[in-house]
Amino acid sequence: MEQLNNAFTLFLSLLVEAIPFLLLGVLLSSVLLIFIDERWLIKHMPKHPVLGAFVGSCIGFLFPVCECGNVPVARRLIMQGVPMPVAIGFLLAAPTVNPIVIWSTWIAFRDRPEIVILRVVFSLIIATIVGYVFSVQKDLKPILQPAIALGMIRSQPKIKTGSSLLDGGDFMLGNAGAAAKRMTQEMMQPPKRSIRDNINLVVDNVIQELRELGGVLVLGSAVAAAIQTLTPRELIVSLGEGPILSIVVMMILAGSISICSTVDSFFALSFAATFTSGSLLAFLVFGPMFDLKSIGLMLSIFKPKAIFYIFAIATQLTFLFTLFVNFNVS
Amino acid sequence: MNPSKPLLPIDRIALTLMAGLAMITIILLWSGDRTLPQVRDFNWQNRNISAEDTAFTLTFNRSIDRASVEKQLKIQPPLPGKISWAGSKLAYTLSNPAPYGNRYQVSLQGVREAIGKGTGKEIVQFQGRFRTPDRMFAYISSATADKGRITIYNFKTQKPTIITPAGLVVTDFKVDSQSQKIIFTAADTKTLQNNQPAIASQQVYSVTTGIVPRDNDTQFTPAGKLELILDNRDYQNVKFDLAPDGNKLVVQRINRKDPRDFALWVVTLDKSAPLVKLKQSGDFAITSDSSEVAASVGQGVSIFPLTPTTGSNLDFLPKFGNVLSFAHDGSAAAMVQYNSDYTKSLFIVNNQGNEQQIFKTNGSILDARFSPGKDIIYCLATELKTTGENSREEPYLTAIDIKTQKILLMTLLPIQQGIQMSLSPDGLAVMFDGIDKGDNTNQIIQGGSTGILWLLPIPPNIHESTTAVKAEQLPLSGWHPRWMT
Repeated sequence: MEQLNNAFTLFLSLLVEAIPFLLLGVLLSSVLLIFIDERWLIKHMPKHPVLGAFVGSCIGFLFPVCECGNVPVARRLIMQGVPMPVAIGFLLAAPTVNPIVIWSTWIAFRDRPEIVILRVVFSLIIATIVGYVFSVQKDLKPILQPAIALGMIRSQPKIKTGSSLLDGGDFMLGNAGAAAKRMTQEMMQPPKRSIRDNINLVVDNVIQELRELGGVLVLGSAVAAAIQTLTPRELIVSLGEGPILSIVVMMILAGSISICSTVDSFFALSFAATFTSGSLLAFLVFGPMFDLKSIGLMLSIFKPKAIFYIFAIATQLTFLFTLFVNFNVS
Repeated sequence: MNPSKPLLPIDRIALTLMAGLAMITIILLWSGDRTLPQVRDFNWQNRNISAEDTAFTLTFNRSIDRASVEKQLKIQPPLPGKISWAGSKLAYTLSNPAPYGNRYQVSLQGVREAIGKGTGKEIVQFQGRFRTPDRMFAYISSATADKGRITIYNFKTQKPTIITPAGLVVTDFKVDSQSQKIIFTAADTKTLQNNQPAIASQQVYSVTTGIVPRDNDTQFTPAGKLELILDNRDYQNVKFDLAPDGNKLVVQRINRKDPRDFALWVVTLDKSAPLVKLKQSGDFAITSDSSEVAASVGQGVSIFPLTPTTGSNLDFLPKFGNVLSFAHDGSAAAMVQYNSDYTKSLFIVNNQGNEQQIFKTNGSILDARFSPGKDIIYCLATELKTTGENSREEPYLTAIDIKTQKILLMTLLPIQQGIQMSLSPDGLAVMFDGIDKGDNTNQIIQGGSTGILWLLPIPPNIHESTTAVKAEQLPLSGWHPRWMT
């Protein structure tokens, strides 16, 4: 009975700490839907692979989305012709390298600022490296899902013949006598929305994201509370104190519970007393890049082979970096 | 991946990278753990702690052999306390507040990390330092040159510093919880020269102490920055109390035009809330959480909130006459009961509603303060002595063990009125004042009396101590001594 009480207290305290950040994250990302001009952004993305991947990793500052929201945004960016390194960089780093997540990590780990800094630095490096790897592949058909690849090809004419009709693409037939019009990027964008529509869009988005993420948060908090109280203390301590084992355990935990990156630092904090710094970092860096839920979402963009590469390289780099921290720093 | 298909550029670079990373990981694993077990964080490192700080934590970077840590942890000068653990974090809770005016060193060496049931590498030797504030108190000077001015005396430097201006004669004051400000009532010297009582014209002021703040976030303000908080135009300011949060002030005021308008007012010092008038009442004390006031109302003690909107009367204790003080954590209050045989009893009432009579006197109970550990109550009281037709009240100071009601210490004080006492924040000394001529404060201010300041050291092992302690007279002239927090 006492265990149940403890679990419930821990569950509630995790929820109470996390909910304000979740609310803020959802509100901000919904409001930004209106203010960020994606077309402008796409036009100004650097073409250099490393720089592109790095800039892509930093776009999270403009789209403070957690790992549940970043896949749809990345898909939209890819379909609109953003270079692949930029999109991959965004996909992997945006859930971590964004103001709300940095702030919530700071609130949770104020007394250990190195965790906050290393979380951002490691995420940036990993996202940039994986982004660069994907820049070598010019033909995207083998790595993208057919629907996405098709969408991209349509939006840009492959061969320039001089005559707009021979260039290929989608066309809209005009009135009798008038030339057929090419469907350009601009024409495919939704028309400008009124303020009322904007508010509706924000409200709809907030409700939808809260329902999805809130549910995951409740579940994640329950799992954390259960692990902390039901697992024998000695087992947790023995798992947490090994410099290698603790990283492996936390990476598996990060991958299996799909807790949102805005609030995952509070989850990690409940393990802070028993687990090594490297393993906490592994959880905080790896969790937002990969978990069961985001793999499902990523399958809507990439073919399994590409996901395997992203997963394998990100896993290896996270393990390597955090192991280095455990062996040499903490 | 189908091997019959040629490798794509991404396959080539990804596989090469993965192989390279695997190699580096193996090399890193091969090189092994280079870190040593050590104290990662000591939350009191280089801090100036006060009596409010009751526990420090030592966080290790990995699991450590607890039994040897408990044996090897040294604090100089020694501070008794209890150790508890949460993972690789050790918490040391002090049994009593650290004595003021000291520098402390925490050291740990010769301890090994715990690996399963065995031990591993030896910990990096750790040394931490922290200190407590200098022992200081404030008093109202009665020296001819500085009569009526608040002076802060530092036992370490043995230097008195005057912080209030010459034109004001201070009648009462309270120190805030961080020792940054002193709130006081004072009357203008000119008004007093017209033989007016000080109480009729006193105003409420705040003045900065010029003590270096304990936390780095607070900005240092030099001593003597004066601010008028309440004037005396429409109301007389009778007496006041400062809430433990240092921001709320409760003042008892009388309307000059209508003396029946006699009530408590709440002033918020940071001006975040307007002046609020509470209800009519007599003696009062603010609760430890700074949210309520306990005041004598009619035939009992009423406890009501400082912000009247939050509700009406919370509690009424008809049995008691007035409240003297609260324990620091609000768990108990010292209250006086007026008995039908004209005696008075000191009661301790805890927050579960349990009442415990501590002692009874035929004189008065002037003040009572809880020790920091809440196990002792220090009480200033009088005993009525009758010889023939003459009777007089003889004041005394006593320390009583709350649990056993055993008198631990008893000191007779010189006969006088308006005697005041102050228990030091670390609970190791009591100060009280002695006034030569036995006249009241107002007469003292206008007359030529001088005050004497006494210091009564409390032995740290007061429960066992059998040797009598003697109050020593300080070479200062003044009254109303109050310890800086």
